[in-house]
Amino acid sequence: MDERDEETVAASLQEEEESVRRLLEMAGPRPLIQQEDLDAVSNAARSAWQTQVRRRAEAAAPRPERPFRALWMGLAAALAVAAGLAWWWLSRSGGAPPTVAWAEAVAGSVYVEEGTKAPRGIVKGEPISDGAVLRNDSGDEARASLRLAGGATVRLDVATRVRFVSAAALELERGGLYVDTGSRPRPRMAIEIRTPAGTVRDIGTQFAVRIDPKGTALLVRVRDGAIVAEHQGRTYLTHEGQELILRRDGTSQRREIAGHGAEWEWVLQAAPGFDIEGRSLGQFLDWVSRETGWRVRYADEGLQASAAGIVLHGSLGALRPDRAPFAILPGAGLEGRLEGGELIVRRLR
Amino acid sequence: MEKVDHNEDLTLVERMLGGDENAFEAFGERYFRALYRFAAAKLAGDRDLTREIVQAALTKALAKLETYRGEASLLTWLCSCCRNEILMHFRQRRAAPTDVELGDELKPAAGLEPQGAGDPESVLLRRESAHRVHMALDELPAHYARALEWKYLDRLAVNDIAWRLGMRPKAAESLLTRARQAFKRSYESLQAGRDEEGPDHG
Repeated sequence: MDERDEETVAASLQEEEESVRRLLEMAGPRPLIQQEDLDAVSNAARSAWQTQVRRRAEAAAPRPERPFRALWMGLAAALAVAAGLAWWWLSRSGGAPPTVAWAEAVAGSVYVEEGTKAPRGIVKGEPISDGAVLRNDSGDEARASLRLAGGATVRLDVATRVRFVSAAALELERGGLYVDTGSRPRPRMAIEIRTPAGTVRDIGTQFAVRIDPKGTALLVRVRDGAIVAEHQGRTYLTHEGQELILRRDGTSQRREIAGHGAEWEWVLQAAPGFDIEGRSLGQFLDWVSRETGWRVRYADEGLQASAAGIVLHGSLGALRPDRAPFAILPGAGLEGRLEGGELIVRRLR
Repeated sequence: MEKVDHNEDLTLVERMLGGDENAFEAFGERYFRALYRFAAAKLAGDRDLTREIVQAALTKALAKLETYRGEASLLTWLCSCCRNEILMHFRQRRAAPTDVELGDELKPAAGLEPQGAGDPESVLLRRESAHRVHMALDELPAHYARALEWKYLDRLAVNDIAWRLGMRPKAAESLLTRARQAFKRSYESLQAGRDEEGPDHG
């Protein structure tokens, strides 16, 4: 491209920016649309779409039942598990560093760097060894979810670089992490996230940590439980529904936040799947609540009591936790309605 | 007017017809909010009625999804289904649709009113234009729309936007460029749809 072409492109980009700026300023902020309205629309659309897909499939070619399909699938699954176990056993021998985490879900290009080895892309099920660095800073929308050896899960947002110091300590060098240390109180290791701008320790919780690109500010959002942040010799206790920003210049800022909504969107995008086959409705809704930050309320006590006895079958496929209840509940003769961060479950009328 | 193809929309429709769950998710992300906003403006913000109309419009549109040929953008096609639903609703009730009202939230920021802002025609044009801007933003991936709003409404610096998005400033610059291009395409497509439908487009 010669100089004149470059000037033309630059002028065109500037013109485009100017026109977009003018339009947005003229229009002002978008009026808010209530999430429950969008959910209602989404549920109706999903139902219509599924009907349409089913009708087309039936019209295309009705296939005979295949009684051996389930058997073959079961055998294939058993073989896959056996192969995974054998590989894990072999990887433990030979003096390799201990495994501190496993990849639960990977979307896009996420790389691991181990010692002097060349970086390699990771896939679901991949073990992460002590001292390894995980990064997804190649510029695409890559995210990953990992389960630490102690049971907690850690999710990497885009453009993140983190070192697994142990199964309980991570050094966040760049980007953002989300940590879920589990809902039930049980003896386990506390998780520690070290950053250039301070250290965060959980006290049984779900929280997100992010550092700015220069490492001069640390942002912590607590969805559930509490964390303790250490910064320049001071400690900051932060509870659920709070956001804390700590800056290297010693200043701090705190504000109230919701446990659901835009701040947690990337966490939903990085969420691993949930196998509903054979699980109870109660277990499924516990998962939805934990992933979305919604409170689940049953419309009547009888329904709540029977939730543990309703067994689900099938698969969620690629459904996100915030969409899943609206697809699954009707199959159990129920419906969900979202009101101000509360998922109300009731019987279909 | 330049002929625009809508291959991406056609591909999405094909995938949806094939039962692709991810395609349906993408369809919802891209269009539900914009369609709701389209109807809400026509129905003067009546929430219950808007919900009812959009649900009915989408149900019917999805039932005849295979008739979408890509002659207009998918959003324009959906808006056209929604518009029919609104007209049918009012015909059945033998009432005229409430005209679109300019709510307080749609008014431009103080000091940004152009010359002649007071005359009814200018107000109407600005209202329609603002409405299209909001729908075009709704159609974008959420992080694109958010980045554009942070930059041009909240006037955040690129470094702050980069931090909020969890990326490097250079990546945020690229994202903003892509977001602007996507916004312009969406806005122009909505504008073209409006021109094709004529003055009584809503």
